[in-house]
Amino acid sequence: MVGRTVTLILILAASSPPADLLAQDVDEALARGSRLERSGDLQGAVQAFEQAVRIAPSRMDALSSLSLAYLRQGRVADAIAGLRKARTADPEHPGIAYFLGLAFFQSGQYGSASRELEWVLERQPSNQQALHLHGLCLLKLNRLAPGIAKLESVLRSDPANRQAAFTLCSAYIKTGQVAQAAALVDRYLKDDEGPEALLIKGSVQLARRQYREAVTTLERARASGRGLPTLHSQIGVALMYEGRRDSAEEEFRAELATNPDDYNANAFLGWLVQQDGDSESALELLRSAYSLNEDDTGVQYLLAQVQSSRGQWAEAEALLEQVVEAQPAFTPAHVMLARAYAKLKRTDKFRRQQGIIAELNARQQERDLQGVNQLYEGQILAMPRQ
Amino acid sequence: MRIADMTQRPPSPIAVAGLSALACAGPVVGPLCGQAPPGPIRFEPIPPGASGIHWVHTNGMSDERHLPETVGAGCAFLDFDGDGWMDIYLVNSGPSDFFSPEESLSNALYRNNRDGTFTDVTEAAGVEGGQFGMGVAAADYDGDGDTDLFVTSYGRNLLFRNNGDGTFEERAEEAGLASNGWYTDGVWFDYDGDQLLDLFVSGFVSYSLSESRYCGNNEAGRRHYCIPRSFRPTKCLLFRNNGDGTFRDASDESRISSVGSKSFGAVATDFNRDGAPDLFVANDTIQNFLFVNQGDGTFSEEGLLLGVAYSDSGLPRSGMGVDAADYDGDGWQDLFVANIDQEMFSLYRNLEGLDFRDASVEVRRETRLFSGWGLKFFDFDSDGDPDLILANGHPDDMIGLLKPLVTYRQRLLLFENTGNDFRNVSKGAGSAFEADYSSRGLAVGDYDNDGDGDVLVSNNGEPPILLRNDTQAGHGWVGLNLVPTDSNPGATGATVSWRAGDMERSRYRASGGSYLSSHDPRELLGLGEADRAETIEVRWPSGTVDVLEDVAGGAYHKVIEGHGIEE
Repeated sequence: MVGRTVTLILILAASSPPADLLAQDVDEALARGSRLERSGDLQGAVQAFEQAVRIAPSRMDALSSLSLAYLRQGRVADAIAGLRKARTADPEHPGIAYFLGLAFFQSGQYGSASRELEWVLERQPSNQQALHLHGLCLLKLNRLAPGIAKLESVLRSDPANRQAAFTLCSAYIKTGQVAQAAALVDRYLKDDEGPEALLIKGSVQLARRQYREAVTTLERARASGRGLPTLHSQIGVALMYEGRRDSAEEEFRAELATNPDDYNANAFLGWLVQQDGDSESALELLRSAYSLNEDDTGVQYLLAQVQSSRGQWAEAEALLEQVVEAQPAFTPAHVMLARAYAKLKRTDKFRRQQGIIAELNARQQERDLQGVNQLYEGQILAMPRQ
Repeated sequence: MRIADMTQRPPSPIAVAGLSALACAGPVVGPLCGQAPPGPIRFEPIPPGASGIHWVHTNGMSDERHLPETVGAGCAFLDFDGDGWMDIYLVNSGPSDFFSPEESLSNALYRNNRDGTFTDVTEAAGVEGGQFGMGVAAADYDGDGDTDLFVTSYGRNLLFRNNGDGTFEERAEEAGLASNGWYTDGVWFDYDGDQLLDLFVSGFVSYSLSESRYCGNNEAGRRHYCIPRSFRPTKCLLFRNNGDGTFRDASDESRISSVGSKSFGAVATDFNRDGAPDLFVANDTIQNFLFVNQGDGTFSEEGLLLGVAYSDSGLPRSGMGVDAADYDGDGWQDLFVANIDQEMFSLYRNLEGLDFRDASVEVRRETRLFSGWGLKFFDFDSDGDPDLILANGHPDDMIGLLKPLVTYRQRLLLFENTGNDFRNVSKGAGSAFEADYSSRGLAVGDYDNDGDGDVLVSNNGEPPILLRNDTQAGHGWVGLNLVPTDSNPGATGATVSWRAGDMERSRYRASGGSYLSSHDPRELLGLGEADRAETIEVRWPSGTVDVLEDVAGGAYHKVIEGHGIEE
């Protein structure tokens, strides 16, 4: 996406009126930087852009060109600093705001990114790039419903946008909208045997609890030799629910070796090692998962389990209260919260939870009576739906 | 009374073997050197040709996969003829609203011939059953000195009153115990302290031919057994003994029936040491119950409060078999419950009556792919601490199509007590631990009177297994046959404490335990390296205390309440 920005910046630069000799020097430096950038000499381009900024430190085009070059170099903090100055220089320019949003996104500052992109979209509601990026921001912020809405909008405007389809499919899976995810798979990926497509297909099977099929599909993706992020952890989840826990553990560890911020690998490996009585490692892993998204009820629930097992009842209580507030029908969290209240001698609260659990169980029993094909399969783990 | 002390325990046979080798290998001659090393753990399956037990369980498995077909049945060791030798009772299926057997089916009573063989005396004794049988609970409910039988059913429960002459009379209706429905476990215990044996009965689900559900794969044309979630819960029952051969239904007044049940195994034990027996009941797919005896004829269900209702993840599990014992010697009764595969089994350590903690990593790890039913704490190597045996098998005969690592038939598991945990010692314990069975009930009893607990396992749709304990631990033992005079006829709730050499132990006499099964009522006390017990104290439920001095090992002794050992 950064590559595509160069043209836009050149347009922005061209729109800056030259004023004097210094301006000519700046223009020359910018032109030289652009040439070097196109030729692949990114470091040379950065030096040229830095020269332009030294000459005219408040020229928006110089600042933005340098910032985007930094962004391409992975110097995200420098890019943000430069784009902020550019934004000050030209506060009403949607292009600068978009790239600042992009830089924030790349630095993991999704809230700031979202604010910049909202600003862009207020002025350019049909800006598809901004819409797409904003959708991704919202998903990262766990604001799943508005994130999905943005991506659906992108896909309606640009039905050929496979990248948006991939992202949307993942979001559908995360929110349990498996039928929608499957529909996207049918539409975009049906005959696609590429590793990315297989990863998405396997994820849909995983969401449909077709664990054996998911393992087969995901292992085909792995056979391609492409080290796709989340692939190992997706295989791990499928294996875990299939009861092949040792293999699942290996997959989670493989994921973490290259992708230490993978949520599933941290969370589920944490849960597995907790089952083996290693609450120290479990705590470390689940804290990592928690740091990736503190609002995620799944990791709150799993972390509370470890804390409970360690007698950290007050900490568990705090997390579980958040879980039941967000997921009032998720009975296991109420059970654990009741236990925490009991241990903390909060008798009234315990009795209240006891009543809630009884009511939820009764409702579940009625649902079960209407259910079909309920087989004798041991439940490995229930997770709250996001 | 708390006399157990972990630090005074003798090491386990395996630990001893290792230490012994070390001690004798070096120049320093240790105290263990020169002693005979303990032999291997060994349980020998006795084939029908050798035991005379040719009976085979019929499960009635149908294309419709009716749930009662897969959950039975139980078995018992009992001495019905009072000759001091354990006889055997096995429960079978029978006619029901969904099953019309082509041939007449019968439960089986085998009389012990005192030579390692048994003779089928079912017909002569009149204990065939004729229901779709589930469980059996043996006890002298009327206090006339002989052992009676209560048989639970899908259909109507039965009470076989022992006539004392080798025959029984079915008197459930007259006694007020002939409940109709689907009942599984029965536990005889004295909940109100009147020294009469009352009866708890586990109620499973509301089921009938018309309530049967379809669970399976239409495309593949496969029909599986439904998980009990598909059916409405029912109620457990509690019957108060009137002392005249009849019972009064106290289910409501005691609040036992205040919660919907899907109950299987149950055990009565005093987990909080207040002198009143409580009830731990396993439920399948709903929370387990811990009925806390309030001492006023009522119970309060406190499983959630005390941490035994759900898994650590807050999920209900498929609880099936249960038992209770003080495995860690801290004087508090711990609990065990077997669940279905992936859910792992739980060893609940009792935290001084205030809470329980799922304590065993080893048990969890070793049982992950197993579905457990019958189980029992018992001291198979006579070292004085309770070990554990588990009978397993998955309820869905086609589970392999759903889960590649899980099988319908499964191995038995044997765990040795290591002090604070258990260790799987199944491998090498005999061929029965390397074969797969669809096991359900499990009973422990010393059928050959050689001083160690043998094991009877009832298998669904298969012959039972009789396992003779041939473990050569080299440990001493004392057997006690408790004969109450003022206490309840089962002496349930008694505490037996003993000291032998450096070892001090104490055992609460729980009742029930396992799954649909009933056990040898005698107490086998492991003496470890000692060959006699210096003291044995029997604290009877009535409050009477008998202290026995210098009791010879290697023999059973009759202990009469208030009089001590009968010479």
